[in-house]
Amino acid sequence: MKIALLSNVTVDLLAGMLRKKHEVYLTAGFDTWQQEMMMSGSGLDAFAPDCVVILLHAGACQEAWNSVETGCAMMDEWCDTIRNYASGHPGIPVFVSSLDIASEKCRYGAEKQTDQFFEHYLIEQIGVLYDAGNKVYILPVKDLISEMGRSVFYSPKMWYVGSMPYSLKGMAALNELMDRYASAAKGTKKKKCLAVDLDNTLWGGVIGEDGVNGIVLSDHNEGARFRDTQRLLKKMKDQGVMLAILSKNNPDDVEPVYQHPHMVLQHEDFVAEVINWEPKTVSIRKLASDLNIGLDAFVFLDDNPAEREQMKAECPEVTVIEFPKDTSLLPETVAKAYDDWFFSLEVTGEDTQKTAMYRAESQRKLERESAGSVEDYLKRLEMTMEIHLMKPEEEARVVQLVNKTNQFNVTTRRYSAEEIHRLAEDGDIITVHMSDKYGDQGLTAVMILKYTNSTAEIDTFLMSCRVMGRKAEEEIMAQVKRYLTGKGIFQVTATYIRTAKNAPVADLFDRLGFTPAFGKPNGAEKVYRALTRELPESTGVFKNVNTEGLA
Amino acid sequence: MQDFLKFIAGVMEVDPSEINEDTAFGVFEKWDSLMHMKLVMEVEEEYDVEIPIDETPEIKTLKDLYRYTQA
Repeated sequence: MKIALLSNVTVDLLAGMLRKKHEVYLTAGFDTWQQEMMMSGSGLDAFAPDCVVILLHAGACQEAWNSVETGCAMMDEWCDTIRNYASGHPGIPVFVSSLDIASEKCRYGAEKQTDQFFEHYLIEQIGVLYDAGNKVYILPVKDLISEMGRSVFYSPKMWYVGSMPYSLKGMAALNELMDRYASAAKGTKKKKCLAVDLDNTLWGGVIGEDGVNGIVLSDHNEGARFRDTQRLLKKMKDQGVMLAILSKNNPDDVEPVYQHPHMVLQHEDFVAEVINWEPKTVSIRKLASDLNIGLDAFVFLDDNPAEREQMKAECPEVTVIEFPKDTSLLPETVAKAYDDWFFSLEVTGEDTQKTAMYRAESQRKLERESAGSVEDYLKRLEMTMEIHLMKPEEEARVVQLVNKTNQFNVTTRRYSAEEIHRLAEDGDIITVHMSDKYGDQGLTAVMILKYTNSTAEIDTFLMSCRVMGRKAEEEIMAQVKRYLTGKGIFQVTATYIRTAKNAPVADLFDRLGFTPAFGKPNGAEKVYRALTRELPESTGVFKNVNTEGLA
Repeated sequence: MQDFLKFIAGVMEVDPSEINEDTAFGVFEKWDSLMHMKLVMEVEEEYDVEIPIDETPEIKTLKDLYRYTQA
């Protein structure tokens, strides 16, 4: 990633660390970050960053904190600069460090203290910018310092020698934090599903032996560590992390636990509950295929070292969490796993609804098994489709899909928010929403079109795997055909680029009426062509197709 | 001394054969003022020693730096 690291102190050493994984831009002069952000044609603009990090050291402007007026005036000026930059560069996320203000020592007992007021003021002002539609986020540096302690985070010597306030440990922690935020800006959630054990993981004790009244789970004392762990898991689920139970137990023994007064997680919080006596390595493979995700999308939490070792040995793709010996650290362990594997900047409506959608999918499966033919099944689903040009509020979801969809993705081209923004301006980005009687699948497909004269090129065509096998691709192409005909486009070109994961679309364009034009001899890349009129007609399996936004 | 040089080579991101105890600040290309501060920090942390601020400008060669590790 290309990261612009702006600061009011010297951050060259920090940049050196960040450069191990990213391309980093530093401003030329000392404390020139505001000038760089304000000037068009600056080095910052020429660098064209994927994200901007503004790392502000409060100690570098100590005098300003002496009065509320000067402190707030300075921060207002910062926020003006940031607002102007963000609104001029809508696709580039800006991360602003939270402040750590340590006002001058030698304070008498009754002296008024404004440190926390200032720290909060900046967070609030950045929140105002975010709420106004800017991609401006707080980089929680203050939290980092609170956890490490100032005496570890800072190095007075480096500050006085070289205007570098941070110690080596402080820089390492900052590097990790910036890396996490920058990676999240790409929209890639690293993992999708957290598979959890039950006994001694979601509660203390063994439900099959201790019974629902004997397990350790409460809102105070020892049992609260499991209640707190469950609360974190629930928070993750609300952000789109799939939770699955992977437990060796009798389902009948487990069922009463949902009546326990402090059982935070309920049936509807899990995408799947696998409770049987099969080896977990067998169950997780079956789960992966049911959920249509790879084993490498799983993180596994289990208190039993034997289970963890077996998982590591037989399913090395699965990420196994080191379970703490002392379970008072369990909530912290889960929080760390979130930071490492599931952290994201934004939570979309789809994320919030994800578990409900997967649960509905299981019901669809039952319906499919009882239906006579595929057509019959699809019609019984009472599917609807809404297809239109990308709306501004859909951008975050589009960036997310473009960067994480692997299977139904013909070119697997990854784009940053900035690039998506440009593609929408230069060509068309078409988004597709689907729903059926079991639920809303949300924004499930994206097509990016580029135009040259009267030819359209399909730059990207991707679809969420949860609507594969529903003739959606045919219906989308039929609607695109209608749209392009109306625009006077008579020819369409498309490319299939083979990856390790996109076999499901290897013959997509052949199926959709395209003719292979040329390609690489080994089939790794194929270019297709079709006259617009050769594209498929509407499928007739959808109960309703709303095309108002694609006229 | 050999272990020390190996450690320093890691910090400077150079091959150990490129440096020796007479390698000098400002002469060896990789050892600029920024690297100077990095070296001081890394040595303080690795060897759990304090290099007082007044003495950092006096460190001219790796031999000078090595002395702190022998305290």
